[in-house]
Amino acid sequence: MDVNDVITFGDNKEYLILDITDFSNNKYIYTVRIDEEEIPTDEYKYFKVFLDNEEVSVEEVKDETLLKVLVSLFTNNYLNESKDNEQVA
Amino acid sequence: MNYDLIKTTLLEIIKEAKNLDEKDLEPVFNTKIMVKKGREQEFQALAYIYFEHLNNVLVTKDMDYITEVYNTLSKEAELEDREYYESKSYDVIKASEEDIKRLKALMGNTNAIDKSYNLLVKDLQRALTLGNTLEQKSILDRINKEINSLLEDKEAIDEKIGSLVEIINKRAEKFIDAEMERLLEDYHATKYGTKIDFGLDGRAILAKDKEEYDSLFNLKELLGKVHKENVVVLDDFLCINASDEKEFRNYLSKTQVFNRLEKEMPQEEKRENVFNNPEEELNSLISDLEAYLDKLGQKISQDTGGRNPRIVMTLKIEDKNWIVLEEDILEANRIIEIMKILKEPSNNMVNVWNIANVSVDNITKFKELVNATKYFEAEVPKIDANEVKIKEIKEDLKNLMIKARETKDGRLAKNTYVLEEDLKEFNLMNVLLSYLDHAKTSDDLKEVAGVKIESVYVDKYLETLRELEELRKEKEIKVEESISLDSKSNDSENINKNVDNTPQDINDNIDIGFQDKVSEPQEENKSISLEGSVIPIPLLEEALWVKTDKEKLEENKRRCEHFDKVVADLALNNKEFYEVVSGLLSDYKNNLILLGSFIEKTVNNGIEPVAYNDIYLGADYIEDYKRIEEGILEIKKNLELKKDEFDKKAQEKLVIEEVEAPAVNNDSINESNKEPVVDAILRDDGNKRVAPNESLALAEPIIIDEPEEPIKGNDNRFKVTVRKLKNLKAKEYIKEHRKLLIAMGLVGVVSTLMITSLPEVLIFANSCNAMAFPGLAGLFNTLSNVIAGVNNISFVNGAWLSSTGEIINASAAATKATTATLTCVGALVAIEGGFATVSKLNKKYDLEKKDGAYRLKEQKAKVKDTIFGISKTLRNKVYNIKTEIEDLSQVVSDKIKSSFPLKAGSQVFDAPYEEIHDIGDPFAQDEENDRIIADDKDTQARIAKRVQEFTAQNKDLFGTVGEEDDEILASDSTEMLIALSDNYLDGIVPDGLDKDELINKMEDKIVELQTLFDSKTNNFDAYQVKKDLDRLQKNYSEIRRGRSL
Repeated sequence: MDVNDVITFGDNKEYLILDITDFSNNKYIYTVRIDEEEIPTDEYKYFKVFLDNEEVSVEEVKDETLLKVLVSLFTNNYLNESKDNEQVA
Repeated sequence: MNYDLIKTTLLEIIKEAKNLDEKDLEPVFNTKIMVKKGREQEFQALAYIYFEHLNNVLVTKDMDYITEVYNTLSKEAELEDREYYESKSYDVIKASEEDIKRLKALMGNTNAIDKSYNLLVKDLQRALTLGNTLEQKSILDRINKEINSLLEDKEAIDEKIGSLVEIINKRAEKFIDAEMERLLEDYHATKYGTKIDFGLDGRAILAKDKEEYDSLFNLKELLGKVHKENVVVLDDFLCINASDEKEFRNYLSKTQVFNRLEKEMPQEEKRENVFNNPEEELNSLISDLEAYLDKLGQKISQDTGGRNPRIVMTLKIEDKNWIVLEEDILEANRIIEIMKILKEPSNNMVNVWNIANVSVDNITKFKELVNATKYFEAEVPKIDANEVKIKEIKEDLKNLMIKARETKDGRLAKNTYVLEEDLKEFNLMNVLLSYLDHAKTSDDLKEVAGVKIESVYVDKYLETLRELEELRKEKEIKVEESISLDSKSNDSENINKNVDNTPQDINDNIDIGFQDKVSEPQEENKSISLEGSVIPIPLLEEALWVKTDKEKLEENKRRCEHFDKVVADLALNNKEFYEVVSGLLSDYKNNLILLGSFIEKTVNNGIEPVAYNDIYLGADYIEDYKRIEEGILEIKKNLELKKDEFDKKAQEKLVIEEVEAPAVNNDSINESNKEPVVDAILRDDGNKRVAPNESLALAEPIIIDEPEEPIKGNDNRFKVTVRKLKNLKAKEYIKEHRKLLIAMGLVGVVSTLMITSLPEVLIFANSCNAMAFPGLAGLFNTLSNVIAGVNNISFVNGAWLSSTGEIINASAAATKATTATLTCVGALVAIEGGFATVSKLNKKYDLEKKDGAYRLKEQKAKVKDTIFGISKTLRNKVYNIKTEIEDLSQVVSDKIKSSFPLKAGSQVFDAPYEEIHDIGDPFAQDEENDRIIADDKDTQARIAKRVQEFTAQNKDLFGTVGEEDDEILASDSTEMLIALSDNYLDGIVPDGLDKDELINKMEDKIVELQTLFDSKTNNFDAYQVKKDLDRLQKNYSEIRRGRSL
């Protein structure tokens, strides 16, 4: 599971993985829903990822405290990435 | 007449009689009052006179004046004695009062030092797991310094304690001497015929004083044995060895003077049920616990000495939880569990250890939790007998560590300071410590082997003890054999006292490298055995993780067994394919075994586990475990590829066979594609068995890619499949717009959180913030505090304005926190600013990828809506902050004036000032700041230069960036209409697009742009509008002329 991969639910809803972070020894992904042509929509979701043998399952993050933490982490990633890109440029 | 003399004589006669044998006594005239023979008439006469004087009456026949005078004077004599002793008690306590206070304070310091020392030792243990890195060296250096400093402090305090103990006890000894002397004087003062005896020192005393005198003598003896270590303060007037306390109290109770003294003093035991107002006490305790959790939480923003510790979230209590360092999670969760118990209502409450009233049902759990916390360490009563044994075992543990330190070539067991060969002994001793420690929480204790153990664990304790003894015997024999061999071989190389696998810094400070808090005994199966080692036994949550891990181990074992079967079937039924994948299968099996070994090692090494997915692992193993899990997934992918390849070849073979021999039957198809085993492996979870002979269809997809109905599990989990993007155009779009997509989502969720809790997000962000702007720390602190103030939240580590208005940079933590605050605000602003740039990209994308123009238009509109929505919320929020800032002292304003606006714009966001200014930077938009900036010539010059640079760099954007919201909307709509009309003229017409509708929209837009063009005074703005207007007019004319369609 990497950034830019797509996760597909049983009801065929699909989400593009924008970023991944580890927190508290769990993996979380930041996603945007994509339509059937794989173009992103405005529906964003944060999921906790479970790897159980070969099965991948996810659970949407709804807890506000956790959401706050994740937003901070993803924002930080975003800023660092931007900074890195600028430095490279 | 001298009545005082009469009274004194009467008292003397009364006291005298008490020291005489009965045979020397005679009753006074017709009464039962006994006095010394020959003094009956004297007593009667004096009593007669004294009675008349005392009561101011004349004695008549029926008055029993003798008894009355006797009783009155006897009571007075008793009172006199009591006053004497009370006076003595007061004197002795008063004399040592100040010294005792000092002594207790010093003892408190010693306890604090011991605690700090133990914490440092734990840090040391953790540092050891870091490997031989620079980070480890730096941490070890720090710990080394701190330990040395603590030891120096402790030495100084011990010295002071020793002096005070000596002073206090000398005073007490003097007091005892005086009392003994008084008793001796009493003997000398008595007249002939008094009953006498001899004290333990052989001196003559009154018989009635024998017990008192001997007790005083014994007390004096015990005082002489007091050493400076491990003393306790007894009844606030002397210090004794902790081990002598019982004996001491026994003698004290036999003396008049000390018995009275003891009664005067508050006793520990008398502090039961001290909670007069339980509810108030409970609330106070809960607030204290919450404050403690807050304190643990604050550690995430404190200087970690170069470490980068993990942070984790605690359990929840009433929808509240804390974020703490991973190393504090067990402590924090225990405190939360304790709070839960405290909050549980019950009609049947019992006071536990003077900590709180607890429901009867929860007493055991409460005690276990309390005993396991550092917070309540001092509150848990110790068991004297066990303390001695604990000390002894700790001494043995220390010796093992010293041995490890002094043994060259000896391999240290992982996560410990002992040699591998001593690990089992080390673990057994820890198990014993567990039982001894756990006994503190139980009321059902049984005395065995000189200690007290909870009765249910007695057998296990004895068994462990026996095992330890046997092990030691075995080791002794081995050592003897080894010595014998050594002497034969005369190999001097084996003797070396230096250690080269342990850093010297550790060696110097490893003296007490054991954990003072050990895990508690487990209900059953005290250990899991791996190569003969035994682990310390945990209870409560530790027991749960052990249980979970054991289940996972079982599952792993099942997987391995199942895998073997599957592979055996494959080898038998499809040799050809087996040969292709045998390498992968072997790797798969090895990885499975490795996963199991990590779990097993975690359990058996007895280290503190960390939650990882659905299991618990030692922190050191997580990375490796993760890597192996990924390795397994990789192998599965490769297996799938191999399978697909194999399928394809088989298909091709079938086609050829069909062409060459159309009559071939279906059986051969099945036979040629017989590789169900691979699928079985791929879907193997150890529980869901796949029948070995199950045959799968050739084209059946691998389960990981098979879409299924949503499976709602226990935790709202849904099974998903993972794939790569397929649509090349989408790929390109996402690649180009990824940053915008990320920013949009973040802004969206932050704006939602902002309404309720953005400040906490901002302040929390310090823990994960990597950026630092120390030069602006003071200002950032101010901003952070304002945010905290505006939102009425507590910002503990912040920097505060002093009464004189100076900015105080309180701590590095505050700098981090406030930097993070601005970083997040900056992120929002930067995202807004970034929109203009991405808008340009979208435009380019629209024009070049015409078939996607319509969709992108929608997409861009959404972006715009989101950004402007956020912008509004952000600006409102920032407006409040700005208003608060305006009220700050002149000092702050000056600081803002001199450094903030440009630095904030240029350093934080690294974006052009103009861009930030226009999109809503709180300070740049502030009129007050504008005024301040205008006052600063240098600043003006810098702004002018930056605007010039920006304008030059963004000529094609100028006109869209920095416009009012409605203008930007208009501009973007212009772009859309241009793109749409371009497409239309190129023959690309999206479904549902009506020509007349397009023409109408274009007409409206042309009018709008014409008006806008007329209103522009800035040449650049006007140029941009004109450019769009011209282009739109051109397309409009062509469409009207019907160039297309």
